[in-house]
Amino acid sequence: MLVRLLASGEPALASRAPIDQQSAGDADKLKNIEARAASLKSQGDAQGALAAYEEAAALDPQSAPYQDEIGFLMAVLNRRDEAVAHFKRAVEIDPKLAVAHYHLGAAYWLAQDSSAALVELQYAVTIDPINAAYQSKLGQALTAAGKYEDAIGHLKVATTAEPRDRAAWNNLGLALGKAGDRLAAVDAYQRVVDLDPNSVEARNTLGLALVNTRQADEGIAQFQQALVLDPSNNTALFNVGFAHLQKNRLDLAIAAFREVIARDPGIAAVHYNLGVALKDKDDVDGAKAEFARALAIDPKLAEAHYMTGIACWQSGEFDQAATEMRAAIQEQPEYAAAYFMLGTVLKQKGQLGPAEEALRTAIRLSPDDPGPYNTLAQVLRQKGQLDESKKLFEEGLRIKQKKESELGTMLTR
Amino acid sequence: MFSPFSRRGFLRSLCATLPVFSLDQLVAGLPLGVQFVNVAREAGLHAPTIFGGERKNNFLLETTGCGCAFIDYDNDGWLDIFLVNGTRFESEWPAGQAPVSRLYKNNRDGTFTDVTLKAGVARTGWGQGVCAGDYDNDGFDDLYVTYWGDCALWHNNGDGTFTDAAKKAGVTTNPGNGQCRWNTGCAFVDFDKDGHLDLFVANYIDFDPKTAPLPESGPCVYKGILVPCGPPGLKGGKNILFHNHGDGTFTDLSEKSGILNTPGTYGLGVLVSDLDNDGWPDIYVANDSTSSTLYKNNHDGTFTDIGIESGVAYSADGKPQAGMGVSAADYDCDGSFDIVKTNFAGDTSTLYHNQGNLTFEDVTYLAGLGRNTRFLGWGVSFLDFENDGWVDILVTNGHVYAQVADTEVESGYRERKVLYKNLRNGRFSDVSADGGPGILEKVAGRGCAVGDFNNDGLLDVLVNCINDVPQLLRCESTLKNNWIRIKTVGVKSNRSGIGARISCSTPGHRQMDEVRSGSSYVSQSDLRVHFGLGSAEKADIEIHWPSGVVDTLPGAKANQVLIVKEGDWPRNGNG
Repeated sequence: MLVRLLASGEPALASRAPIDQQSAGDADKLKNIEARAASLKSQGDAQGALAAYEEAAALDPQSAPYQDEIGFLMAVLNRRDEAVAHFKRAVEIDPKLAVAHYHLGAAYWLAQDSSAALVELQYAVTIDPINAAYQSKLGQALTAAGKYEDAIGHLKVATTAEPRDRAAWNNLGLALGKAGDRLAAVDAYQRVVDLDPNSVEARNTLGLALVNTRQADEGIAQFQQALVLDPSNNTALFNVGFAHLQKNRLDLAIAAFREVIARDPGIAAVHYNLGVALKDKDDVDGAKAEFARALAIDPKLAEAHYMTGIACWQSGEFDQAATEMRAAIQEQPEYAAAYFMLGTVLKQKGQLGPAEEALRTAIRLSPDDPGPYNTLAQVLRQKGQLDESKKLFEEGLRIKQKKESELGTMLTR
Repeated sequence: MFSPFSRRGFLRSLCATLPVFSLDQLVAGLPLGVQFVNVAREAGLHAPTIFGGERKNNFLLETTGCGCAFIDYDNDGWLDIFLVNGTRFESEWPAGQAPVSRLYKNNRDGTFTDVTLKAGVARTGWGQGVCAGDYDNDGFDDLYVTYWGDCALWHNNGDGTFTDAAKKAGVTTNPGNGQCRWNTGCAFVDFDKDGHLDLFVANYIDFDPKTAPLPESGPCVYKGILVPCGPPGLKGGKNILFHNHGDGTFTDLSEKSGILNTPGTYGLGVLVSDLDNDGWPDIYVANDSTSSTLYKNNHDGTFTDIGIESGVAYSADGKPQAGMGVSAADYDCDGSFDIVKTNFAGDTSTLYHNQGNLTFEDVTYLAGLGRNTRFLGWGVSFLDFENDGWVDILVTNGHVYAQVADTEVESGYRERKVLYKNLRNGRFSDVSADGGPGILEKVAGRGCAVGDFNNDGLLDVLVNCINDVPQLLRCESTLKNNWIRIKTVGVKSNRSGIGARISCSTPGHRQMDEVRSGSSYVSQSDLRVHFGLGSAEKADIEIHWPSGVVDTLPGAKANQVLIVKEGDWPRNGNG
């Protein structure tokens, strides 16, 4: 980001050192140094520009803008710690220097100190609320921090102020998607594509957003356009397969995934999704083989363990199903569905004690899913604990009826 | 003993219309030794079942399709066919051309004659299911046909004609407020064992096309396609239990019997069976998109729904399923009836093993039924297609939504059947690929019924298809296994013998079954009980009637239909 700022020739100085604190000779000297520094900066000579601003700062050490410029150029030269020190000095001297807060926030962001970044970026926006870049960066940071509604507000300001800022639109789409407003996210991503129709990444992002809003065919059109721009783009081809899978066009999904694998067999997610498609075609053996390939590439892929377990369960291989569910849980200790399936399989193997333990965990992790209540109730009934069994059945029924009632409300709205 | 017509001659004529298969393949090259061939056209079953829009449906009512029945309405020993029919919202039918339910009389030569008009059963409407039983004990089986709207009770007059006695009998299901009830599966059942057949009718959704949501309103989507809404989110219907007074009239005992204690559910397939071996019939209802219901008979005129705690309400992983059709049999010959149920696409059919004490275990995956999830199942039946003494399973499939026909959704709208062979060890093997063209032909199947229409000892299958002609799947076999079939005639018990439990023992093997009304998906199989005997040439038959009378027929010869009148063969041997 700092490099882009340099190249775009953004004005470096938001303010000048107070003239009354300088001698007339120093003032002229500073003018010349500033002019030289700006010229060097516009030519891309970061080292030369840095030296010039250091010279200016030596003459006027209380100049916040000089400190900010020095920090900026040091960041460009990858001297990040020093850059942060200079930004901090700048905001100490002049707490109202918005650009210094912005740069300090960006530096913290790059250093992955998101809390500190948010503070500084918020200062920048407070001081200069009409600056689109500040709003955009703050929005991006808020999204990363999970504060989606706040992020959306700032990003909307940014995109209104700078309708051609692709990054801002992209960040807005991300925030909207995370906040659950998927249709608005699609609109934002569409703007990115409108601004940069040759961006494969933008097409892929828009395509996925369309697929996730049940517009799979429109999504596929974007992926196919991405493939026109870059026929070797495996992400786009994978996304085509994913979209077909969403629409249950299993043969088309399988063909796409297989083509990706032919180009690059080392992507676990592709093998996994191919397995899902094969399983939906009831090719259980084929599915298991693909899940195994996914796990060979990425042994930590919990979902692949889970789906292997499901396939084994479907085949009546209960021991292997239990093993796979346990493996899924090991990778993802809060995997409610895996605990649920483990409990179900153990129940069917007659191992009631371990089944109960797994199902109770499933309920703890996912209390709004009626399934584990019913299965646990069956286990307890088999164990002779009839009263508790009855209570669990009732609870499962209550949750189920609540969900059905909510659905009815939706249909009649 | 009835003589089948020339099998070879029939097969030759069949090959003329099925160039894919040669005669040699049909007769000699059967890996299973058995195959099913669709002979509906040759048999004269030409009329299509009309049901809802062909390409697009706005309401679920247009999707559920119809049931069918094998019934010997004229008592000549040859199974006749009854096919329920539907209609369409959009159509104005010219006079005489509206679709009607059809009755076909068996000509005993592999063909049937449409006697609908002559019999007086032509009726247009949103027909759903059918069940059979002699409700007035006059010696002729009657038919109850369910509708969205008023149901029909076709009283068999015994002379080839029927009269709709629903209103007179008090079983129309008209609520009297201008609304229509959506009646689906039905079964005649003598729930109080007074010798008169009572009637159970499942209900699906409280549906009014004027107020029902359209697909766009949800929106209601399936795999990205706009489809009819429901059942979830819509108000479930309430099942009905009619008590037979023995004088041709019934009273609605739904509330008093306790069956209304189960909240409104989306009832479809109905199974009546004595599931706890206490001598009293229980009632299982396959519900769509919610827990299925098991009404346990309390022996005092009331029922208690124990579906959830008995383990037959949900799937193995505790989830409600979209249950459609249901059938019962003792598939592992352990002395208790087990249940098989069909479900929606993306799910398997479910096999519940009866553990005793009204406890069931979902053994779908253990038994080998877990690998098929892409089909959408409707009619289902246990049937011994090999006559080896171990019942197998046939599932009839077809997607719900006509809209998927225009897409590349994997299973498609028209789907093949699934045939499972009993391996005799608690497991089944999917032998669909070897089941013959009748199994592999893709149709939008709904109700199915099982019966031996040509009296060759092999069980055939009738399938009612939606917006298409029906299938009549004739079973062809090279196995030469023996069989026996029992037709019950009640005296103290209801005349049809419904509820009678029949055991069939051959050396080292004991089977049992019941005389059942209803089952499958809103359909009616032959009321006669069939047993395959394998190589055994004799069998010991024992019949426990609902009245408590027990008849025994030791050493009954194979390959015949036994007509057994209650009390003629008492256990002490003085027959």
